[in-house]
Amino acid sequence: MPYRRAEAGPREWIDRGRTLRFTFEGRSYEGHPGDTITSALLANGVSLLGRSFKYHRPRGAFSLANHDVNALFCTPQDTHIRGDVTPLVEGMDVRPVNVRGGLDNDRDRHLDRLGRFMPVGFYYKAFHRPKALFPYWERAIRKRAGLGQVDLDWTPDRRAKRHAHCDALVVGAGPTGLTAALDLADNGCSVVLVDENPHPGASFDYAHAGDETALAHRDALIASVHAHPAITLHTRAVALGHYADHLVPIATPDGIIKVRARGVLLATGVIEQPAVFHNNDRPGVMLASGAQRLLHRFGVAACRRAIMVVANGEGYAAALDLHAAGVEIAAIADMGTPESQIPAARLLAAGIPVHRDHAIHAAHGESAVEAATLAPVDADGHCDLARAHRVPCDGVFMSVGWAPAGQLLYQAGGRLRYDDTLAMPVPETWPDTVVPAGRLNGVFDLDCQYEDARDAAARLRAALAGEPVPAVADHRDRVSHGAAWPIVAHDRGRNFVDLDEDVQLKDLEQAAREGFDNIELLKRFSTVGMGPSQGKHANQNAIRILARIRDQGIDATGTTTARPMFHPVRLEDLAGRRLRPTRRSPLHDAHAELGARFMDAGAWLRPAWYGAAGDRAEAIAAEVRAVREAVGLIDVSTLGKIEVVGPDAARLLEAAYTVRAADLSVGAGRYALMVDESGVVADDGLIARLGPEHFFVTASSGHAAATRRELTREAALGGFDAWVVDRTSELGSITIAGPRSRELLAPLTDVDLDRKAFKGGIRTGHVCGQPARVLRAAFVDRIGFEVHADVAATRLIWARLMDDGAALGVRAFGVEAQRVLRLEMGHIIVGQDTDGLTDPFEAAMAGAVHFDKPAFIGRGALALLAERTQRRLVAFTLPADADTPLPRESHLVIEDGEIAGRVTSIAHSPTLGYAIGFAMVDTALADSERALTLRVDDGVQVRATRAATPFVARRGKRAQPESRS
Amino acid sequence: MSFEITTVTDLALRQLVGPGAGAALAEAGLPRPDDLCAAAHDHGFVACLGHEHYLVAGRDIPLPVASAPPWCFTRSDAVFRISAEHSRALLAQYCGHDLRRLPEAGWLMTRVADIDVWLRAGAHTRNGVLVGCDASYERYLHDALHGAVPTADAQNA
Amino acid sequence: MSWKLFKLGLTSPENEPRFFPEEKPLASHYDVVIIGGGGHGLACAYYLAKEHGITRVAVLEQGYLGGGNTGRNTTIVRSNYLTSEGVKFYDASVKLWENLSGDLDINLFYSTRGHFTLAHSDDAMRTMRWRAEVNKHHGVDSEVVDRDAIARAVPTMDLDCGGGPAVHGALYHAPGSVVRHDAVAWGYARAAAQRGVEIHQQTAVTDIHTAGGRVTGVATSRGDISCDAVVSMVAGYTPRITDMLDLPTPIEIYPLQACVTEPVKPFLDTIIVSGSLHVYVSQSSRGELVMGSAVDPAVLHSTRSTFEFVEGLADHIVDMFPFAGRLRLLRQWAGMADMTPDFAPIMGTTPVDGFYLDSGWGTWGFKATPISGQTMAATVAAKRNHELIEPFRLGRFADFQLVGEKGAASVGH
Repeated sequence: MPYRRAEAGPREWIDRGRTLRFTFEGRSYEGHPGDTITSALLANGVSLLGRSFKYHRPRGAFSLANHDVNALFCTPQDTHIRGDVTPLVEGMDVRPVNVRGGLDNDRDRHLDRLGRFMPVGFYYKAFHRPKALFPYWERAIRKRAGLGQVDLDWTPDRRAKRHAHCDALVVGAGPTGLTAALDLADNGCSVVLVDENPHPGASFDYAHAGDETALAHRDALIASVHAHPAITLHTRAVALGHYADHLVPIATPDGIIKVRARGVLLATGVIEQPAVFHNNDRPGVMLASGAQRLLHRFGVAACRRAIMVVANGEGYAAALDLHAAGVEIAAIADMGTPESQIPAARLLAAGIPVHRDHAIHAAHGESAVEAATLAPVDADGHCDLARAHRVPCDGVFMSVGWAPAGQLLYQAGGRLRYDDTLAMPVPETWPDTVVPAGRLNGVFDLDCQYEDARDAAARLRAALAGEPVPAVADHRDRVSHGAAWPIVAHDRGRNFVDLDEDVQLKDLEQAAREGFDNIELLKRFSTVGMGPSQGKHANQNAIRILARIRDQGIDATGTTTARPMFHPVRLEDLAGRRLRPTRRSPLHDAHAELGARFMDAGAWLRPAWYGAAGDRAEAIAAEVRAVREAVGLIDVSTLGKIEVVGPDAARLLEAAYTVRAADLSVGAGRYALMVDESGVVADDGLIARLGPEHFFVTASSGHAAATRRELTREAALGGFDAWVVDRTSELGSITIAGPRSRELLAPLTDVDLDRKAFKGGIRTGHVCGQPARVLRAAFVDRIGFEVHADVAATRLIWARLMDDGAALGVRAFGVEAQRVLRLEMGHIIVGQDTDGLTDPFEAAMAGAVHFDKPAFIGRGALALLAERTQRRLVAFTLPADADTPLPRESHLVIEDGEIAGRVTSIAHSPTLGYAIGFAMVDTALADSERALTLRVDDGVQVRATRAATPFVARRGKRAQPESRS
Repeated sequence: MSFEITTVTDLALRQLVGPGAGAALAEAGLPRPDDLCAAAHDHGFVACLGHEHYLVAGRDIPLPVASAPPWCFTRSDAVFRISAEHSRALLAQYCGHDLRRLPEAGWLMTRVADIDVWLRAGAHTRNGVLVGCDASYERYLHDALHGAVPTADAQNA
Repeated sequence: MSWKLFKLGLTSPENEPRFFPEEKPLASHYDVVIIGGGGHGLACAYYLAKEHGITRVAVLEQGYLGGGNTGRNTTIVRSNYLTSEGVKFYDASVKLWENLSGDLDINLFYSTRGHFTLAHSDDAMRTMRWRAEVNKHHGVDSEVVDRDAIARAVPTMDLDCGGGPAVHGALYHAPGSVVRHDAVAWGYARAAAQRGVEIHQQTAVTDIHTAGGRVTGVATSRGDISCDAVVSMVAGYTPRITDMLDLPTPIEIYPLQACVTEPVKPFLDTIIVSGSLHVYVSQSSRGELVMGSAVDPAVLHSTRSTFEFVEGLADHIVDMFPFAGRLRLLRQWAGMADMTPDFAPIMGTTPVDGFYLDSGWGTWGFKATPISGQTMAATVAAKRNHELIEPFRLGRFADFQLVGEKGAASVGH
C-alpha cells in the first residue's frame, strides 16, 4: 500500500507546510499544495482509483504522467479529470467515473467474470437479430459505454485564446529542451519553451534523482532559462499538435496560446511502455518511472515491498532509487538487460536479488496486488512454469522499454523507423525546421543528451538562417533500452495491451485470425489505441504483436497515424471568446429609438418592423399602407455601394455584368445583372454613370462583398486600368417611397425631382445642405427616391425627413414591409425567387442580357440557356375570402399528381385585400394560362389564379423588372 | 493590468485613387510611401493601399475633389488607439499576425477579432497603435477591444 | 443475455470464421475490376454477385479496406434531400440500410435517431420547407417543425445559440440514423468474399488499358489484369483514375474534416445539423460526440487537419450545447471530398466503353453506400444506367441538366 514518506525530498513539488482538504467518494482526506489528485490519494493509502471501461476491473495509478486514464475522476464542475496531472484544490469533491455504487462495490464489476462472452468485436456479432430487439440492446450498450457524465447545468468557461510568435519553439523542458532553448536563445533566436508539467525539469526530476552532478546542472539550466530575456517559459503547457507552417497550439490553464514559430525543436522524450502479463493492470502494478515521479515529486512511496520486471538500465536505476527511499525491492525479473547496464555491485550491496532471463508470469490479488509469480522466459514469451516461484509484494514496477513521444514529429512530416538495438522506433527523416533531440531521438546518456541538444539547436539555427544544415551527428545509445518482446502469454488471458480499452493479447491474436491483420483494421476492430490515451502505452506492443503474427518486421507492419490532440482538450478552450462580427447602419440608434425590431441580415442588424412585440402583423400592414397612401422611409444603408473609376471602368463593368455600360451618359443608370460562369444569377443592382471614367454601382446587401471581390478579380484578370472602391459603409442610403415622396424631398434638395426631368439614373447635389446623390427608386413603389450621403449627413437627413414628414404621415418601414411592397410591385428578390440554379431567362430578366457586346462572365452559358428554359416565374393571386390557410413559400405546385413547381414568394397584400405571390413552375405550365394548384399542409389543395404584374395597378408604362434588397 | 483604449475621432481620413494620385500627393506636399507602407507627415500619415491608391489621414490637406481623376473619397473608418505598452498583449488575443515588426514598418492590413482592419504605429499615434475598421463595425470592434482579457504576463516572445 | 453472445462464449475462438479470406495472387483475368475497396466498391461487388450472379470480380484497394472516406465520415444516413431525383435515390438507400445488418449478418449499429436540420433565418426556413414538401411528395418522412417542437425533442440545446443567430425552426427527418461506418465495409467485404469475389488490399491501379475506345484491362502494383469492365469507386482519388483515360469531369477535391470527443454517458439522442453554423453533431453508441462541418474553403488533395477547423466547430457547439464546453476533443482527421458543381454524384456509363464511374460523392457519399452498390452493379450487368442513377450521368453538365442539391447537402457550400 502506498504512503507518504516522512522525509521531504530535495526537489518535491509539494508544500508540506500547508494542508488542503478534499473528499473522495464522500470521505475526507488531506493533501498538500502541489499534490495532484492521484498523489494525494496515494499518500492517504487509497490505491483503488478507478474501474476499467469494459470489464470494470479495479485500477490504480500507472504512469503518473497522463499516459493512461486509470485515474479518471469527476467533480461537480467537470468530468474526465486526469488525476495524475490535475492539481489538488482546497475543497475538491472528487468522484470516480463510470461506476455504479462506488469503486469498491461497483455493480458492474461482475462483467469481468463474463469476459469470455465478450470476445473482441463481440458487439458486431450479436444484438442485431431479431431486428426489433436491437433498440433495446442499443440503449443498454449506450448506457454502459461512455465514461463520465455531463452536467446539463454547466456553463462554459470560454478562456481567451492568444497568439504568440517566436523563432524557435522548444517542446519539453527536460535536460535536452533546457539545453537547446538556451543554445538557441544565446545565439539570437527568440524562444518559447513549453512543458506540460507544473515545473521544468522533466526526466531530471525522476530519472536522475540520485545524481547530484546532474541535479546541480539542472538547477543551473533552469535558473538560466528563467533569467534569459529571449526565452519565454510556459509550464502546465501542452503542445496539442503540429499544424502547417509550424502552428503549434499550446493548451494552458489560462487558455490556448497559438504559437507560430519559424522552427520547432522537439525534446518531448519517451513514454514508458508496460510489460504484458496476466493481471498487469492490478492496482499497485505501475511503470517504474511512475513510481519515481510519485516519489520525487510528491514524496509518496508506491508500496513497501516491490517486485520489478526490467529490461534496461533505467529499471535498475529506478530499483536502486526506490530502495534508497526505503522501498524493499524483493526481486527483479530481468528480461534481458545488456550486461553493461546492470550495476551488479550496487545491487549486491543493496541485497536485491536479480533473476536473469526471467519475466513476471502473473500478478496476484484483486483490488490490490499481493504477489507476483516470476518464471524463466524464452524469446517467444513462454514461461517455464515448472521453475516459477511466487513472491509476496504490494507493488510491481515495470521498466521494459520506451516508445518515442513522436506525435508532433509525425504530424510535421517526420518519419521514424524501428531500431533493433535500442528496441524502439527512432526518427529517420524530418523537415529541417522540425528537429528531434534527446531521448525522442534515441539518445539516453545524459551527457550525450546535452550534446544532441546543442547539435539539434545548431541545425535548426542554420535552417532558420537559410544556411546549409550540418549533417546529423549520431549520439544515440548503442545498447538496448527495452525488451524486444515484453509480452508473456497466459492461459487465462487478462494480460493487457491497452488498459484504456481492456484489450488483451488474445484479443489482438483473435482479431488477426479473423482477418483484421493489418494495423489499421486491427486497431478499428479491436479498438486498441482508440481510447482516451490514444495508444500512448499500447500501440508499440500492439505493433510488435501484429508483426510477430505476420512474421514480418516492425517497420513493415507500419504505424497508425498520430493525429492531434496530444492530450484531449476542452471544447470551451478551443472555442475561446465568442466573437460575432456585427454590422450596424449609421441610423441604428435612430431605429432603436423608433422601436425597431431588429433582425439578422447576414452580419447586419436591420429593422424588420417597428412597434411592440405583439403587434407584428398590424405594424407591417400599417407600414405598407403608409407607403401606398402617403410616404415611407426605409434605411437601405446595407446596400452594396461601389465606385468604379479609371479609363477602363466601363470595360470592366461590361465584362462583369450582363448589361452594356459604356453607352450610359452621365447621370443615366441601368438595371444590372451579374451571373456566374454557368449563367446562374448571382446578384443584381444598378450601374449609373457619374463621369467619363466614373461609375457608381449598387449591389444587394447579402452579396455586396462577393460582388466587390468579383469586380476586383475581374479587373486584375483582365488587366483593366480601373479601380474598385467599396463605399458600402461610407455612404448611408435612405429610400423615400410613396405618392407624397416628392412632396417630402423636393424642399430639402437642390436636385430637380420633376418626373420629366428625373425619370431614372443618378443626380449629384445636396440634401439638407449636405453633398448627396439621389437616385430614382421604384422597387417598393412607383414613386420613390434613394438618397446616398456620407454617414454624418445621413443621420441629419433621416432626422429631417422624419420631422418634416410627420405632417405628411411619414412612417419608417422595415424589411418585412419592404418585402410585401416589392411583391405588390411585381419585383423579385434574388436569392428568394431565384435559387442556386436559376438563370436570367427563368426569372424574367432576359432584357438584362445584352449579347451585343464583347465577352462577359457567363456569356457562353447564357447563349446555350436562352434556348432551353425549363421553368419560369409566374405571378398568381388567391381569392380574397379564401378560408383555406395561406400557402407558404416553398409549398409545391402540383399538376397531374406530379411536382410542377413551387411558391417562391407569397404575402397577403394590405393594399389589395388578398394574397399575391410568385411561383417557379415548369415551362409548359408557365406558357399556358392554367391556374396553379398549390398543395399546402395536410395535403390540402388551393387553387391560385394567374395574374400579371405589377399586382398593384398603376397608370403608365410598367417599369423594367427590378429587384433590390 | 487593464488596457488603455481610446476612440479616435479627429483623424480625418480620405481615400485618393486613380491616375495621378501619387502626383497629387506630391503637389500637396505629402509623402508617397511604397506599396503597403505608410509615411508620416506634419498632420498625420499617408498609406499606400496599392497601385495609385492611397489612404490619407490628416486635417486641412488640399486634395482634389471627387469629380475627375484622381478621385478623392471620404472615409469614415472607426479608429481606436491602444497605448503602446498594451498593444501587443491586447492584439495577441485577436490577431494572428506577427506584430513584432509593426513599429518599424508602421502599417499593416490584417484581421483583428475576425474583421479586416488596418494598424498604424509610428509618429502621430501618440505613442500607441491605431486600429481602423469599416464604420459599420465600430460598435463591434469597440466592444471586442474593451472586452479583451487583462493578462498577467504581458510578455510575448 | 443475447443467445449469440452465449454461443460465442462457449465456442473456441480458433473456430471463429475469418471475415476476409487470406490474400491470394491476382488472376490474369476478371469479368469486372472494381477500383476502390471502400463501402461503395465492396457493396457493388456484393450486389454483382448476389443479384446478378457475376462473381469473377476483383476489388482492388490501394490501402486497407474501408480506409478512405468510408472510415472517415460522420456516419449519418438520411434521405431528406431537395430534388426528386435525390430523394428517390437516397430513400432507396435508407430502405436497404434498414435491413442491412440482417442481410449481411453483422451488427452495423444502425441506430435511428431522428435528424434535425436547423434553420436560423427565413431563407433557411424556406429551403427546409421546400425539402419537406418534396420529401413528403415521395413518401419520405420529413416535416418542418417550430422552435417548441425542437425544444421538446432536444431540451439540452440552447435555441438562441449563445446570442444568435437563433434557431427559427428545423427540418425534422424521422428516419435519420447513425451507423458504425467501418463495419459497413467489413460486412459487405465478408458477404462478397463468401460469394466468390476476390478482395485485394495494398494493390494500386496504375493505369487502365483500352483499345478502340473500350476497356481491356488494368495495370496494378502487383501485375496486369485483363477484364471486360472497370468500375471506379474511389471518391477523393477520382481525378487520378479519370486522368488515366483523359476523361474530363467537373470534380474538384476539397478536404473534409471531422473530429470526436472523449466518450461520455448518453445525453444527445438525435442528430443535429446547422447549415448557418456549419455544424453537424451526433453522439455515437460509444458515447463520443462525432462532429463535422463544411468542406475546407480551397481545393487541396490532402487529408491534413487544421486547427481552425476545430476552433470554429467548438465555438458553435458550445453555443448550441453550453454544458458541452467541458467535453474534451480527442482526435481530428480529414478525408478528401470529390465535389461537383450541383452537389449530386456522377454515376454510370462513360464515353469509354466498359468504364463505369461512381464518383462526385462530396459530403454525401456514405449514406448512399448500399444504393450506389446496388445500382452500379445493375448498371454494369446491363451495360446501361439504372433508372435511379440516370439523372446523375456524367453528360448532364454539358446538357445543363444539373441536379440542384446545393440546398440539401447539410452544411454544403
